[in-house]
Amino acid sequence: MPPMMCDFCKSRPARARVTQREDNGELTRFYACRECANALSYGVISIASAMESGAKVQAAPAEAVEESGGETTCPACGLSYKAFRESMKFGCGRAMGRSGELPALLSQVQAGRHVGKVPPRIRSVLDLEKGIADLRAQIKAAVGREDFARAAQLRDKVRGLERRRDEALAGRRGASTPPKGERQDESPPLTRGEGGDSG
Amino acid sequence: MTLLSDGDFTRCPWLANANGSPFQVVSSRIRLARNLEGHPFSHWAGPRDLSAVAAAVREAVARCSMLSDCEIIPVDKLDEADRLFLAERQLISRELAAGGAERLVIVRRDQRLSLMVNEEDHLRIQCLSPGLALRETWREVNDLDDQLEHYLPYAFHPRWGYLTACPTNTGTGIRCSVMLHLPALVMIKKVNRLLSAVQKLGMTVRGTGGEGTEITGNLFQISNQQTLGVSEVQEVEQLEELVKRLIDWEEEALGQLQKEARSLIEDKIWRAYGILQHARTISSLESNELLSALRLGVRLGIVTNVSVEALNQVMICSGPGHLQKIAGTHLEPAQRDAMRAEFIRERIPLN
Repeated sequence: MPPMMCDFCKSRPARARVTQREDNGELTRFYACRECANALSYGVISIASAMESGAKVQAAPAEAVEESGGETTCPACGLSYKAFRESMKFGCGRAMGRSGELPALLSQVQAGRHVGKVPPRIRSVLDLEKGIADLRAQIKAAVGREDFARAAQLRDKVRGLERRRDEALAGRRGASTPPKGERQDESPPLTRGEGGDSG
Repeated sequence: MTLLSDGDFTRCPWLANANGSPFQVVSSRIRLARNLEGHPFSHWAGPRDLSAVAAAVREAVARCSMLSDCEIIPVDKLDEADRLFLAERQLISRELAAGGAERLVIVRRDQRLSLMVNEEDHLRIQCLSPGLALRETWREVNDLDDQLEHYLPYAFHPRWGYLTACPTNTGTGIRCSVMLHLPALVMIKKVNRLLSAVQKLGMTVRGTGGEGTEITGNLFQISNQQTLGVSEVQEVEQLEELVKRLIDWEEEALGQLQKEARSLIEDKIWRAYGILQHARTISSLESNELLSALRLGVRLGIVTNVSVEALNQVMICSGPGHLQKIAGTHLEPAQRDAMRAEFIRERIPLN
């Protein structure tokens, strides 16, 4: 697998990630070599001029230039980003958490989101979480119309569902599973940078 | 009786009884890739995690009713012939065959269901069936997956599905494959049409030995590649549809050949028959090509005293691993070729 190349000069290997916020609020990412990233961050070149050759994006100031080459490693399993790029194999399930970076890479390999089987126990946890979210919305509405008795009733229901969810999670937990609050979908990003497009 | 010490090495049980299946289909296979939460994936895990995963799987297997009659085989204790033998039966991958501590293969007595532990992923669950049987195969592997999930905390993300070491498996983690015999398409040189249809549907073609192997004996292994954005049932249905279309094309090609080159085809079949019945030494490459011609002879009603199942069995059980297991000792390539010729002569009766 050849190294990922800089989106701007297209000749040096990418070492940094450049994030740009589009007008509609969506983030677009580019990968830049150290030189181009520096040029961008000091305004020597703009994304628009840098991308002139094959520009596909609207010109807008780069929001941030982040170094993400070399030393970055997964806080959960210690696999370096470099090693991942070489083997194209994840080191652990944490890579797929809140980090925007690896899912972005994943989408180079495959598109879409999971539509298949959900493990029965996780399905029950997801159902409970959806129920909790619905009840919370109802509580907010009840408080809004100053129906506090109703809000208190709903709050008890939420506590009941939360207890069931925690029990379901505890049932799934093996001896070596991470402690509460560190579930898969809340894992720290593998690379530095903003939490992004996790579902 | 155990699989590797005193089993029947001359007959592969999961290949038996493909009743009513299309003639061109040898076998169907579905495997699921799964990982356990809280441990690095096998390729990146240290000895402690590998052994914790192996222990958790052993414990779960002991509780699964679907695996009440199974054998647990540590791969690093196996010799070369055992590894080849298991690979020829499609019970271990080449990656697992390479071995290492805490690598296990767990095989149910009928060999239809098996698990690979600490391969690229912590767990590979596999079901093999003779003939075209993707739906039944999916049901069975899915049931076993449910049973195992009851005891094993799978790494799963609501958006990305089952988390796997390789991004190409993330999502459903499913790989459905069908082994097809398509000699007529090869003879009329229409394989490109086949390949482009397969690729258009996001599927892939491999040789009989799986990833990275050559196509021999006109046997094509067709399998799905997409695991995100497509459900398991959709994959199964798409592959089944494609297989049916390829079978139609093969039949069409066969009709054309019979019209335009009947005597050439018959000659090819009879020559193959003659060599297989009389050869005193034969390589696996040559025997696969000749068995393919003989199979075509059975299809055309020219060869009547051999069944397709017998040919499938001979094809698998004349591999180097099988022959060494039958002989009970290490064999040099020349010895294997001699033994293969004898093995085939015994099983292909004189017409």
